[in-house]
Amino acid sequence: MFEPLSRQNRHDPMNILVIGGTGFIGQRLVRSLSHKGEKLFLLVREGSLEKAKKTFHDLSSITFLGGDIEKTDLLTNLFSAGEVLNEIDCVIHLAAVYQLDVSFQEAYLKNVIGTQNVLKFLGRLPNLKYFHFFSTYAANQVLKGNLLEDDLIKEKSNFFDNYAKSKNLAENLVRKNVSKKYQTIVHRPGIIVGNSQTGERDNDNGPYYFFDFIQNLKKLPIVRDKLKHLPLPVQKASMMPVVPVDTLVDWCTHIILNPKQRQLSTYHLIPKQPISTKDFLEQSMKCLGLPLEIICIPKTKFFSPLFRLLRIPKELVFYMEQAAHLDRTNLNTDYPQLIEPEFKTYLPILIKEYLRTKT
Amino acid sequence: MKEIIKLSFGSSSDNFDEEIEMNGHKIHIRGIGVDYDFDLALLIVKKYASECDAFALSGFILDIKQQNKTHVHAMVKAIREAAGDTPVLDGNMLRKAAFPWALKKFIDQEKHFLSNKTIAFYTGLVQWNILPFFQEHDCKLVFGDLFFSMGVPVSINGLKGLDTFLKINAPILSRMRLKKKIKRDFSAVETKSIAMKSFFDADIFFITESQLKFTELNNLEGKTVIIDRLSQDSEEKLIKAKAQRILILFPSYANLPHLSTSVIEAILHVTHPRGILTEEDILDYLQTFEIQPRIQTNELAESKIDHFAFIIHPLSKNQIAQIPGLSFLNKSPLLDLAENLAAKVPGHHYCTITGIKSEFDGKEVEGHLYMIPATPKMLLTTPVEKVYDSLSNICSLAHKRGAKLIGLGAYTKIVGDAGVTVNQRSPIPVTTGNTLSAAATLWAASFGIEKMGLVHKVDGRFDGTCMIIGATGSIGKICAKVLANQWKKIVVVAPRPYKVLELVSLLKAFAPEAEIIGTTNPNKYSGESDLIVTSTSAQGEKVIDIELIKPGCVVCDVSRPFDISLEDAAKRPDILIIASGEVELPGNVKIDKTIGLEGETVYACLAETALLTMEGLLESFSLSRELSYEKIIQIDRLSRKHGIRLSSIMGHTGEIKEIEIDLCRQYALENLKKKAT
Repeated sequence: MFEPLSRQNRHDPMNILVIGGTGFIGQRLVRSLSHKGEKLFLLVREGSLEKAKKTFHDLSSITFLGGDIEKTDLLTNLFSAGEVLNEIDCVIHLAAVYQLDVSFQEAYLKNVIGTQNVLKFLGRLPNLKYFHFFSTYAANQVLKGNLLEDDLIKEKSNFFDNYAKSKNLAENLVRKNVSKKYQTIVHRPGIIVGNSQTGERDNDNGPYYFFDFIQNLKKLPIVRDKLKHLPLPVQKASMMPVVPVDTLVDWCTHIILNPKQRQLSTYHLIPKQPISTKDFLEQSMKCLGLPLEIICIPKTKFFSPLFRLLRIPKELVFYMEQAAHLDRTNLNTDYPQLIEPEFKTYLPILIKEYLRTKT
Repeated sequence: MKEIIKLSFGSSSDNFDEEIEMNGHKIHIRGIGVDYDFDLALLIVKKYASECDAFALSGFILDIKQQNKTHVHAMVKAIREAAGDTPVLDGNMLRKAAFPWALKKFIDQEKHFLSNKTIAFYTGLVQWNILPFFQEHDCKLVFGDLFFSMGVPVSINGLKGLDTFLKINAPILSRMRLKKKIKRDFSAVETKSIAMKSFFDADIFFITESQLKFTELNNLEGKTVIIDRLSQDSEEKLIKAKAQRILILFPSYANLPHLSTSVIEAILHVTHPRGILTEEDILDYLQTFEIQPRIQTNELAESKIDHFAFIIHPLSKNQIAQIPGLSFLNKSPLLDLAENLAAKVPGHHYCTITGIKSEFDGKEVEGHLYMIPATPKMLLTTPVEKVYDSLSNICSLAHKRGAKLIGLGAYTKIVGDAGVTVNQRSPIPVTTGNTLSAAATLWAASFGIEKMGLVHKVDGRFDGTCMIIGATGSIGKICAKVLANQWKKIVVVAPRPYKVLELVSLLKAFAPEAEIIGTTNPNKYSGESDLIVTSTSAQGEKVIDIELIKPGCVVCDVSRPFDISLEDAAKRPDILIIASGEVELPGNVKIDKTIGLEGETVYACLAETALLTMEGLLESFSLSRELSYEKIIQIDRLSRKHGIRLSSIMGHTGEIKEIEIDLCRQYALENLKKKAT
């Protein structure tokens, strides 16, 4: 299938501080790095310390530090922070709130001010060499054009969801504060879905709403029994850059362990050939027992009440409309060896796990 | 470590963290922009009030003052309540002291900055700390509040108008919650809204940096902008709008770009030994750090050629008949009527002088000549206030055309207080040009004496007599002072005895080695004078008996009209009569209409205006009837520097050629010989 990636020209293990290591991607990334032999520090809120220790009880290479990224002074616990600070040479920041329907205030506090606090904290690390920031492919959230990895729109006002808006603001801050003392690597993952081998996931975000939508459609007899085609306001060119979480973790591990010598690097962590939204929906519908062909029609006001009826969050509209091409040149150039599973091979696994957890 | 949060209503793309040291304290300043989300602002205040020592506000609508009432904006009120005991600073105390003071300092250097100008405020409702200052200066105020706050494209004229607007709207505005960013596009209404014409026609525009973020600017070409602080973004925006000059009231520190007035107030507050910031502390701060306003000129918008203006008028009613189409008036009984009527015609642009270029640095200047069609008689008999009005109007016209300095020619500088009142009412500095007129007289005199060769120097002084007629006038007095250091004997002549005595006394103290004599009768000493300088306002009336003048005398007739008539001059071919005061400008000078002089020769007073513009000395160099000896020296030096020189010597009928001087000398020698025998 795909081969595990290994660090080339292996040096001494890095001392990596992970912020957001208990999250969906974070936990998996922590494990992956731990298995590579890196020394890890996890920043965890004091109230979540016990849970974190339980989650990673089997890993020996982890030191826990107390801290809340919403606090101006990040390190609040009693550990001998001074010595720890000198050891850290790599920081990975992926702590964020990532629900599409999150309020702007919450997203701002956690994603923007949180990032601002992290950036300030980096100045206290005398031996820092690498800062990895997790943004999102939707940080620009434009509907057309060719988006380069190095592009980031400033002062954009019309976002489809508050999460993307907050990540845009946070990434702008990161870019504004790029330092000569350490390298900054911005990771922009695509749409994260469950594990490609097991379908395991933490929540039903993003494309899982489409599975819900399809399940709701199936309840309608006219759709289930009569229709062969389904008209939907989907742009023909719109794309769903889905990435299984294990593939993403694999890629990120490789990038973290093999950084390029550059002050700022940005990568669209998306498949080489993202699946179109139309194909995603059709294949998902087929897997879920509703083999309809989608007819792409223009969006009209009629669909807003329909979506509400079918409980599709308005934030998903972006996925149906966005036809911008996401460029992947930086990733292809710097890491040509990255491989990915085919969508059609892991989709049934995702859906199987989805159905299992829904019953 | 002291913690300050600068809470900005604007974009969070400006979020920052900075650490500074001040008054022995380490201070961490965190900037948070809430992207125009007030609920977020409140959330942040509530969350971080216990973690910081002070909040500094930016971009919020602060206090609105309407006469004796202060309306605190509901958003600011809510923020203060949410902050609890944590102080919330808004910068008002600092602005109240710093901005008028900075403006005052600037106006001390550039006195005409506000004179007779119209100042447009994009929004005046929160500028109560600076409006009283403008009120003290003679300028018109116009406000864009209706458009800025409500999108209604009508400007508000004057403070009364603003007060009326605030009376009605302040309660609404102070409760208005800005939920999303609304940018007011002034450029969109610039050409469409007649009701905002007075706003867009203003000379100077006032805006704060916070307001600039909510504003799409109109075309500011040729305009001056006053702004509180200037960041790089703001500078780019103003340059894009083609603002010619930008006056920055409060410095931006390159290494601390986020040090706004509210942040400085917060810093002063948190480092204060008693923890309470007062106006006294603000004054101490301003004195300690010597805040200086800064003017920045937009070189891209700025024209490479500077412009000046000059006012001329016909020197006699006969010149009215020389106007194209009016030649029928020549020697006609209608000429007197024409003279009266012409004086009622407003001043207008007459011609342009181009191609003036400094020999020193290649600086180019252009002159705009304005004609006020009133003869000397009309200027002296018209009520002086009307003349002031006419001249001030021309100054305004010239200013609108881009002139930076204006000169008064001939009798326009004699009427009333010799330019003082006109200067006060003019939007640009005014000069009479008398300093260079006096210098040119002296150049001409020196040239004439040298060419005649009849008087020689002994111990550094001309061994002869020099008489100055009209010696108590501005040009005459200064000539007397300069010549008193060059001649053995000086005779000063003026009609009023007490003035003569005053001048004699002054000259004796100034030049103790010269013999100084005063008289009201020029004929008494004309027979012994080797040089006569005549500078009167006799309007062509006879001031001296030509028959009594010593043969070989050089007469510099500065007056216009001439004191020595053509007829009298013709009687004495043995006297060299120079119509001094004319000079030539450097460069390839072109004048597109006649100004009564030959070729590219110009009046010295006009040349002074051009010279000052070339030098960038845009001030009222010559004003009132007093001239300064030091300024004569200075103008002489500047003339040499830039290449202004005496033109070919002009007589009553035109250029005086070398051969004519030789002939004159021969006649003089013959007549001196006859006299001796």
